Amino acid sequence: MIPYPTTRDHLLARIRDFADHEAWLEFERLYRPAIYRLGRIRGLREADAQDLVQSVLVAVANKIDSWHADPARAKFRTWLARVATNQAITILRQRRPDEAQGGTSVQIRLREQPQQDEVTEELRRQSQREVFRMAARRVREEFEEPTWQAFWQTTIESRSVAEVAETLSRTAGAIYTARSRVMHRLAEVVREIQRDE
Amino acid sequence: MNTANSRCNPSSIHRFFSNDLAEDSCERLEYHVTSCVTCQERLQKESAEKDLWVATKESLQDDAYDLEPLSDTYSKLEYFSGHLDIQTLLDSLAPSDDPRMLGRLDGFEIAGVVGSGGMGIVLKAFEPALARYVAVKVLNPELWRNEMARQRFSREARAAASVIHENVIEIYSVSTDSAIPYLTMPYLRGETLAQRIANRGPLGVEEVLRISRQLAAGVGAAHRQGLVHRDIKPANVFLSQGAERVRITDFGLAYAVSDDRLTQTGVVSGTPAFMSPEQIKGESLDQRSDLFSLGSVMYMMCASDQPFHGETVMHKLRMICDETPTKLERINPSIPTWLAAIVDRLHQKSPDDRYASADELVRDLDSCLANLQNPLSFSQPKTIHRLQARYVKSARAPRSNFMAPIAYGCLLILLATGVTAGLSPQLFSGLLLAEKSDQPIALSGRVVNHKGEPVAGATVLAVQKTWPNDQYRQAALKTTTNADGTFTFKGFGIQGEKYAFLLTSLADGYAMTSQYKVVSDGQPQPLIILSVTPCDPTRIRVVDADGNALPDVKVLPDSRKTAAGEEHMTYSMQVSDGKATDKEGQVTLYAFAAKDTASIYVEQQGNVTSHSIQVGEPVNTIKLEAIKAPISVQGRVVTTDGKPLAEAKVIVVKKTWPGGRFRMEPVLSKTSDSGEFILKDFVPGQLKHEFMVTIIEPGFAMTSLYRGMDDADQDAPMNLVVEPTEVITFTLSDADGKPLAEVLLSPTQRETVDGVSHHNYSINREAVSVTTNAAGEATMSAWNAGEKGTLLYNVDGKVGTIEFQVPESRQISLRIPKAN
Repeated sequence: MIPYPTTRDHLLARIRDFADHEAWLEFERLYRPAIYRLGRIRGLREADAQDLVQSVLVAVANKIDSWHADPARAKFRTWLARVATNQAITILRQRRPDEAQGGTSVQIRLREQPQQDEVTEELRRQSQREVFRMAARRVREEFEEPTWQAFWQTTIESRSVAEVAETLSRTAGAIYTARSRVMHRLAEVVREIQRDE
Repeated sequence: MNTANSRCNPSSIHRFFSNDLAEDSCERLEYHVTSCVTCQERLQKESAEKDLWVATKESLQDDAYDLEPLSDTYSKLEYFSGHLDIQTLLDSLAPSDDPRMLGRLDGFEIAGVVGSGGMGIVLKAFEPALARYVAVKVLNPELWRNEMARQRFSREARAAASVIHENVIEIYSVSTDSAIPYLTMPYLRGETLAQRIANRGPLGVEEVLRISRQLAAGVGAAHRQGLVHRDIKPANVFLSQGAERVRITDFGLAYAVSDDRLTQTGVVSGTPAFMSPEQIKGESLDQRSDLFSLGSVMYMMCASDQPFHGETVMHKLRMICDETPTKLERINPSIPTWLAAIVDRLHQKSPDDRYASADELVRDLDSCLANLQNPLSFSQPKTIHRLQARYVKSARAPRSNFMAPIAYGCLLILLATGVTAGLSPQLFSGLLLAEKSDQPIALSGRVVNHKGEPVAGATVLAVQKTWPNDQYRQAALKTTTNADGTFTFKGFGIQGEKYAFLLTSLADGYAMTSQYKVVSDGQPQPLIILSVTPCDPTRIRVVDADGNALPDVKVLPDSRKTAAGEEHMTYSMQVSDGKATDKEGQVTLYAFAAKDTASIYVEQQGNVTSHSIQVGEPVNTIKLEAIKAPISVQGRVVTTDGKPLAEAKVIVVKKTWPGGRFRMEPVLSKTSDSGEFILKDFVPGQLKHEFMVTIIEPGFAMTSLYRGMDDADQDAPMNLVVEPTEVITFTLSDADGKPLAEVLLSPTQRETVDGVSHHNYSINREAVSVTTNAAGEATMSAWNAGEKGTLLYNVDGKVGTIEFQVPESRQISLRIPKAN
């Protein structure tokens, strides 16, 4: 962003104030959808899941103050993920059924006390999913549209190679090679993103 | 396919993935794979492991839980384009000196995004040249390269600037030649009419008349210039604080009546709820279209509700074209018939049946106002009597319904003209979308206690934030719960994708609670349940340093952290809402529970301090130190060889906490013979300060230092080390190469060869500025050779910045782009 005078005092202020902006942005990109899905899977309605996301992110943002750069302690990203998980659990536990809406089944699900491990695992799974989606967005731009479609329609939409070959006016072989090429690249990018984490 | 012709070649598959396979070999591979099942599997296996294929399918498949389905990423992008545009704009800004500013546009320090609409984005900006805040309206980034749109923007800006009237917002400047076209207006404090209605409900008759009268006068002034506003609505009516002055803002859609090349685009501009029938139908329209909209605004003031309702935008448009709104007196019995009659006259579907001009309306409103205030001296004019008689008579006549099918036809025409005018379908839907977010969002909820019982009389606060940029916070809205614990906030309506609210409730007997809520446009808003738990009355005693009770000190709960770690806050509510201490210096707060860590604001004679207490003791004593005299902070300016630098100019920018909001109070000092400087007037212990100290001195490079400042820091002197530099000569010319004399130049940034940036807060320009001579020359020493710098210039009132790199010769020729 903006270059600041690099005095020691100021650097400290920057960490306090912005905590590593890039890390935060990346965290948000990854965890916003992940937390949202976590909420939905646990039976929250759309607005409530949005609320959950909001509360978790706000809590994390508020707690940034308490994080200090310390080589002996967790990396910022690890720390962020931990705070998010804890907050999600707290909120899911506290959450009372909304009187205005919500059926019985929802209330029963909400009464189940989420376990730390469960939520951590779910959040891990969901953020993993976001990594794939992030990679897919990136990879899509690298390929010609028909190549991408060959991959998307056969792999994600589960259409047969023959059918897709016909709609795209390609040979079946072209579809096989195209989708493998995309998949190969996608796997590469996924590994790249995970290494960054 | 003839498989015999092609053989399996595993190594070619390997090379295929490492991109080593020539094009013809690729074709051979494709051909072969078409019929070879083995190689199909090989391809699959070599591209990625099986579980990756499975994970990919699982991860990329869209399901009901997705916020942004991948499969329609593109259409989603269009949907989010409002937000992306703002981002595009923010990305285009030059960096600002101040980390809390979003960036800089020419001479303006951009502080935040105030709102956005179809045509533009409104920013709050600080104009250092005149030390004032202004509103900068920037053309929507997606239209920057659109010559037609630029011309239109420029024309509109000029048109708006030509209307000089006390009830029309003034345009300070227009810049349409540079990459980012924008215009500047006063940044007004106060509220919009939409906000007032949302906060207060229906307005009183006299207030309706006063506001309408000024509105009509402002509209009339524009009309005399040949303009039609086209988007008169409560959100475009600004009410100044204190003295009631109405100003019409946003002539963004105004266009000269004579210029009808854009008529068809105009069809879909405007805010449907307040459009006139002829505007909706795309018919040619004149000033009387604004009168219809004015009628809708007056209706809204009287009823606190829009005149025309519809479940969809299309439905609403149809209602405007052929339905008569519910009688005002039926909605609000305090509205006199004559006022309803005036609104009804404005609401006539045919322009010929309305008032002939805004001025005519002003005259009627004037006499009604005079009659209302002094009925004995001023009688109701005959025109009003006639209006009223006709209105009463029409009310009895059965409403005919034959218009309906015709109006529906009009809507189809509307869609068709939208397309024929070259509007892409998504632009059209974008406009509708903008309309949607324009609708005030009502939020309702209940405050209940731990047993689920309603809590009456609780104070509920809502703080609005735009999402996602989070920069801009609207003043807190406040309401009190009804007997059944319910509350309603109306009028959340600034445009944007989503809003986040922080809702807080405070009720005697219950602890403070807060909740974040994200509200999306165009969706039914769920009822908000704010749950409060019983509090433990917290007794606070405020004493002075000697232990004497301090009466009449205001105490305000700020936030609480429960034993379980939950945090609730009131979001820096106005201190004036606090409770005053009694003669014993005591006050009881009902906001916290035992074991909470509470944060409390205390205000003594305007001096605000924040205190943290652990709730639990019977009486919590807050000891206020005597209000200290402002302290001075000392520092020294020394050169790299350790010698003190005398007569150096030191600029300090002070930022205060908490709130994180940016406040700058520049302080200026000069060093003594021994290089020392003193910065006076910091009230210690009040709030934290952060300083940015900058020094610019001939012969030495510009240096800056950030410094957080606590009370205890006052004794630690600041050392600013400056490096010697040499004098640089600037030669300034205009776009045509003509020397620019008498131009004020001010250094604002220096980037050393090591990449360290130093900033001069771009205020106090006279302190660090030089003026060019007749040959357009000026000398300054703020940089060394090889360094990069930024200069702020002021050419005939047009302020801009220009960047350069200092060459070995230290002679720099700068060309200022053409000023408007």
